[in-house]
Amino acid sequence: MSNTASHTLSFTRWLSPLVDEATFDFYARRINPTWRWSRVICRVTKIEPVAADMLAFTLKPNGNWRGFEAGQHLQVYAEINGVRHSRSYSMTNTPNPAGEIQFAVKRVPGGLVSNWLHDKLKTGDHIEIGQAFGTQKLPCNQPLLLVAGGSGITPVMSWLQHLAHRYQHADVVLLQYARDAATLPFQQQLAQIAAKMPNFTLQTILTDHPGQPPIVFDDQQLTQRVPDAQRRAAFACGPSSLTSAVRQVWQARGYTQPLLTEAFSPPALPDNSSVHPVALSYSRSGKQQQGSSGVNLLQQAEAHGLKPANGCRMGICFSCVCKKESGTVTNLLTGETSSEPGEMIRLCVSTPVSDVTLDL
Amino acid sequence: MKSNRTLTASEIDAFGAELDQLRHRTVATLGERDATYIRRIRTSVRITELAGRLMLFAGFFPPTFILGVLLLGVSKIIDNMELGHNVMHGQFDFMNEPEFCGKRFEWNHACPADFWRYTHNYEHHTYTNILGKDKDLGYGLVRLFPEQRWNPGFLLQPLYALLLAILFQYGVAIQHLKMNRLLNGKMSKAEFGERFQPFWHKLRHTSVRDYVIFPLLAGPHFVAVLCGNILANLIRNLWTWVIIFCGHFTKDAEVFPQSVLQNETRGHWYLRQLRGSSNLKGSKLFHIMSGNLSHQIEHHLYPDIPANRYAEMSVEVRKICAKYGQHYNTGRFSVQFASVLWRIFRYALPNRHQQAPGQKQPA
Repeated sequence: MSNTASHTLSFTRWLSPLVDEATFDFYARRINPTWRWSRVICRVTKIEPVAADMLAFTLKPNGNWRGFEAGQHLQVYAEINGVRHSRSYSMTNTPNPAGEIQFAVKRVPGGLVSNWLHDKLKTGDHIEIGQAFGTQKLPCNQPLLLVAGGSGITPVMSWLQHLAHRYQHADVVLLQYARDAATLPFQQQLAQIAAKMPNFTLQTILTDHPGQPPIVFDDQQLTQRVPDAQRRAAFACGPSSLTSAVRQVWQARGYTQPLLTEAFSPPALPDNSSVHPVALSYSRSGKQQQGSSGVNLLQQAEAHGLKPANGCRMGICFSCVCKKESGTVTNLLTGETSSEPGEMIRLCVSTPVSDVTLDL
Repeated sequence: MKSNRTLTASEIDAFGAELDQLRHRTVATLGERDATYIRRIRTSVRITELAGRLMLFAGFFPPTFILGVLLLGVSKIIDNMELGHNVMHGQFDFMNEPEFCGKRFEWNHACPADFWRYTHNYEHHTYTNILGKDKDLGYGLVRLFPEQRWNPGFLLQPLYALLLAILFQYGVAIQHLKMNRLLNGKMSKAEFGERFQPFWHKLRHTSVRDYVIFPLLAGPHFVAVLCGNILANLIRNLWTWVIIFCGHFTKDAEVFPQSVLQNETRGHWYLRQLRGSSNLKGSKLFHIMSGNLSHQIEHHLYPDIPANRYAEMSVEVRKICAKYGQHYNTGRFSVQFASVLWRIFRYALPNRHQQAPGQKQPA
């Protein structure tokens, strides 16, 4: 399968004087639904529940997929009502001879893409993904503490499988948080890992108990659960409340071992009726600047020394269209706000509502 | 003859606000229907191209040759107009689909898409029918309005217009090279060379494909495929020229002096787009074949809204125009095109009294 697809890839060089990518894809997908010039299309080979509100999807990508490393993420694309939405998920497996990718999705109440993936995507369907990205690497030669809250377990699954495969005797403690037993993901898979790794300890913490305030990560809990935390490199992944709590304890204790954190939930949006400061990141030029929600992004980018293409400066000509990688913006022509990652926006008629990252 | 009621400043604001509301109502309903539409248009481009090229491979046998030329011509017309032109306006950017991304789309045309996005999307749509700013006003070759200064060179303009029509795809591409600026020394040779590069690449790519590779693939029918491709390109050139000239140069279309740009409000901008544009009546097929430029007025009011919405929007736009006493310039294709031809012949000659362009914004 991946062989056939890489064959089509070498064909593309010879075909380029004759057909363009769009024409090639138009015909190729009718012969084999995963064939494309450069885009990565996958067949869904397996869908399995890993918690009451979480599904793991196993995909077989075409030959355009360039592979991944443990702990990386991918963009998943879903076309819903004519609009292609993208979301980042973490791989939950490791590179394997079958060339399969697995990622897990927690159903977010009201979430457009997570609900679509849960309800609409079936085994045998085809779905587009982007190339793997993300470069966080955990040290493999020292004891580890992994802290995972809810769907924050997903990159941890990938790490653990990597360790179970390559560093069976690694000394690892996993503190896994979930609201209740039903939403505690990957228990079966974690038991399998524990069977392979003699020095692996899993500690689960259920946070919600009726009539009591939710249990949260704090200093006392860490002392109780992981008395030797000081000697461990740590990785925390989950909602921003959890990752910032871990960071605070680490700082308060003055630990020198590395701590990596990754927050999955976006920070709360400020009231968009008032003008407030925002952080503007320009990914291509690697700049970050203080901006304002009261001025369009074209003017701000120019004030920050960038030279985005532009024309009419009133939303007609689309010269300044730019990919917004993340953040929320208001379209001044329609008054609508949107937070869709990866959407194309006109800089001259868009003002930032939250911190925004632009492909500039 | 048309009549336009003179509007007060607050009426112009209200007129603009009503057109803005129509925009909001339409944008709020964009989705599946529009995505399906543009994919169907893409399918028709691909299928007609494939069918046309296959027929031409059968050689000069008249039934297949003629049908092949027509199908390939139709494919190029739909690719350039209903697909390319509309997608490049960013009309389908809402889909977030790379294939229909306005900024990246490349069409089956000698003009590099980046040239078009500048000369058309920016220059023409921002400065529609403003003398000296909108280079589409006669493409520097043809005088169409009494407000344009006459010189004896224009006497032969019916001939230039015909040549422009025949070679329209090259004319459109060359527009961005700004050769007049090179000739009068306002542009350095180095800058011109930079502009020329992408044009040369695109010209070579499209020419090699149509005039070398496909004829070679046909083996013994080399000449038939070569001739068929030349004719298909000619059909596309003539048709796109006709439709584009009908968009802004009909009898009742107006031109404006550059002074209108001072303090131009959104309402004024809408009013200028309305008065500078003209529609063509026709069937659904006719609208598709003209890239919905038959709804030129709606296209100029809303260049970024999917063209498949113009037909239904035109009903509302017409009502708004009637409410504010504004002429809605539409007519049968034959009548509108005849008035364009009349302008080409009439304004080859000087006017008795040189007419100065109006001094102020439309009101």
